[in-house]
Amino acid sequence: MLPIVILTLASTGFCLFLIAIPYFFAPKDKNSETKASAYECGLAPKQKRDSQISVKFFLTAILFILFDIEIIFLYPFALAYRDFLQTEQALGIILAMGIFILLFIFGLWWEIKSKALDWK
Amino acid sequence: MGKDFFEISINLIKIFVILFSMVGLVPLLVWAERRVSALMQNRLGPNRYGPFGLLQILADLVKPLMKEDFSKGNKKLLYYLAPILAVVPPAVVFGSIPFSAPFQVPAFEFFGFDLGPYTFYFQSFHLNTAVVFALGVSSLASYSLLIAGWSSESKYPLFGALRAAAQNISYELALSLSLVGILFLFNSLDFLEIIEKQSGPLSFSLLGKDFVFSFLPNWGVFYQPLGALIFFVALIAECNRIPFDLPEAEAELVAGYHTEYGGIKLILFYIGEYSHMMVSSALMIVFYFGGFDPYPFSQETLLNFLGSDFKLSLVLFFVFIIKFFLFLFVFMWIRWSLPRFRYDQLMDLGWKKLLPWALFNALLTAWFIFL
Amino acid sequence: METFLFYIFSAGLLLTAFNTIFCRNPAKGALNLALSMILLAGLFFLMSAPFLAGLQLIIYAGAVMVLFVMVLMLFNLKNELFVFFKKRAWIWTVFLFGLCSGLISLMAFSSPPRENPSYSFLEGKQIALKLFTEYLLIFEMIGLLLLVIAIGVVVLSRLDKEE
Repeated sequence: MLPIVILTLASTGFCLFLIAIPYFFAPKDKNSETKASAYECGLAPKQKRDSQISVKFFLTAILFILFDIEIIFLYPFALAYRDFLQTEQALGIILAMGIFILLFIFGLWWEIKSKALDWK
Repeated sequence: MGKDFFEISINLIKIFVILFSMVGLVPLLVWAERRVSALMQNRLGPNRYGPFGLLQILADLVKPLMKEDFSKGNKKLLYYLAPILAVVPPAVVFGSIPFSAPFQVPAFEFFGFDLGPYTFYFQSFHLNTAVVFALGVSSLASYSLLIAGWSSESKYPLFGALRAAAQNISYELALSLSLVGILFLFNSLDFLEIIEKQSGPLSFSLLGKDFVFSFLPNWGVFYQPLGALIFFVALIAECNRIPFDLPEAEAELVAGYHTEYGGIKLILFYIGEYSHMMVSSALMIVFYFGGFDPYPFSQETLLNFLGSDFKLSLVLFFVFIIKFFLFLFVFMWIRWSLPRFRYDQLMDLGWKKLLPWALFNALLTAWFIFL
Repeated sequence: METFLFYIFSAGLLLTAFNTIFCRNPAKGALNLALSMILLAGLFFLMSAPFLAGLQLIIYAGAVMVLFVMVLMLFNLKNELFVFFKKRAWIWTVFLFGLCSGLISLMAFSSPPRENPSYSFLEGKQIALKLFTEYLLIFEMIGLLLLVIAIGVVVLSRLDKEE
C-alpha cells in the first residue's frame, strides 16, 4: 500500500513542480477582458450557456454502471472456474451462472433492439 | 516495503526511477511519433536540431514552460487539478506492471552490515490483485476529462468533455470483458503469475487429449485472438487516439476539452495521453503476448546459458523493451493510417459490436475450458 | 505503518465527506464524494481486501461517481447559500449527531476487536466459492434487478419524448 501512496504523491508533486515553473519564469499579465472571455472561434461569445443536452449521455452512463456490475460478477467466476469444474456441483454452478449471463444478454439485446444506444 | 533500511531505500529509488523514466520517455515518444508520421507520409520529420532532430525534444520542453500561466473564473483549483489527474492514474498503473522476472539476491555483506536475502521485483510495487487494480485506476482517467471541461467555464470544452467521458466509459466495458477471457485461462489476478503461465510451448488439453505445439509459445493471443483484438481496439479508444480521436479533434469543438489550456498544463495533458499509451502497450504485452517471455528461447535455456538470475532478468527486461516499443510503433502506425470515426460510429462500435463480441469470446473460452 | 496510513486515509475521508455536505457548489460536492470513494478504496486495501478495493475503484469511483459528476456539471445549478446561524437547524444537527455517534459507539465498543484475516491473494476465489454456493439466490436476484433497472431507465427516458 505504501508504495502506491508514495508513487501517487511523487507523480502529483512532479506535476505541481512543472506547473510552478512558469510561475517564476514566464511573463505575467494583468487579467484582460479579452483573455478572460471564452474561446469561440475568435468571435465574441453571444449568449450564456443555455443549450439542450441530450438525455442519451445519461442513459449511456447508467447503462455503463449496470453492465460494469455484471462484468464484475464474471471476475470471481472466471478465477474459480477450473476449481468449480473439479467439484461435483459443477453443472449446477454453471447453470446458475448461465441464468445470470442469460439475463445479461437479454438486457443487452433489449437495449440494442429498442434503439436506446443509437445516434450518439 | 522492506525489512531493513537498505531494502527500503532501494525500493524508494526504484519507484522514482520508474516514474521518471516513464515521464522521460514521453518526449522521446513525441519525437518518434513525428518521425514515424513523416516516414508514413513520405516526408522528413524534425531533423534540424541535433542528430536526427533529437534536440527538438528539448525545444519542445522549454517552450511551454515559458508560456504565460493564465487562469480565470472561480474554479481555479479544479482548473489546475485536471492536468494532474491526467498524469497520475497512468503513472500509478505503470508502477504495477512487471518489466522482468524478479530475481533473488542472496545474503551479502555491505560495509559490515549483514543484509539478508531479498527478492528484487522489477516493478514499483507487487500486487496480488493487479488486474482489478489496473482497471480501477484507469477508470479514474474520465475524471480529468470532465473536470477539465467543466472548469474551463465555456460551452465547447464542456460538451467536448462530456462526449469524451461517454466514449471513455463505453470502451471500458469492452476492456473489462475481454480480460475475463484471460482470467478464465490463467486463473490469477497477478501480472507475474499471468506472465509465468505464458512461458513454454503452446499446450492445452481438449476433450481429454493433450495437444502440444512446440513451435508456438504459450501466449494469450493464440488462445484468444478475438479477445486480443477487442482489447487492443478498446485500449486505443481509451487513450483517445486516432481513430477514436474525437475529444481532441481539431475540426469540431475547437480542441475539445483542453481548449482553454495553454503552456505547461497542455503539455501535461499530452504527457498523460502518452503515458496512457505506454501503459496500454505494456498491458497488451502482459496479457496477450507473454510479457517478457523470450519466444524462440525459453527462460530455462537462457538461465543455463547466462548462469545467473540477475543476468537473466536483464535480458528479459531487454526483451520486454523490444516488445514494448513494437507495440508503441503499432499504435502510431494505426494513428497515421486510419481516418477518424464519427461519434455515432464510435458509440456503435463500442456498444453494439465490441461488447457482444467480447461476451461471446468469454463464453466461448468458458465452453472450451469445460471440454 | 499501517496505523499511520489508516489515520491519514480516515482523516481524508472525513474531510471530503464533510466537504461534500458543506460545499456550496453541488458539482464540487460530487467531486469531493468521488475523492472519498477513492480514499475508501485505500482503506479497503489496508484491511487486506485488495480485490474489493479494486472493485470499489472500478464501480463506485469509476462509474457511479462519474455519472453523478456528469449530471451535476451539466446542470448549471446556482450555488447554495451558506446559512450558518439558523437556530432550528442547529438543534436538529446536534440531536442527530448525538444519536448517530451514540449508536455507532455502542456498536463499535460492544464486541471485542477482531483479527484481520489475511488471505488476500486467494480472495477472488474465496468470493467466488461463497457467492455460488451460499449466496446463489441473492446473486440471481441481483442479475434480475440489473435487468429491471436497464429496462426501466430506457422506458423512463422515453416518457418525456413520447415516441
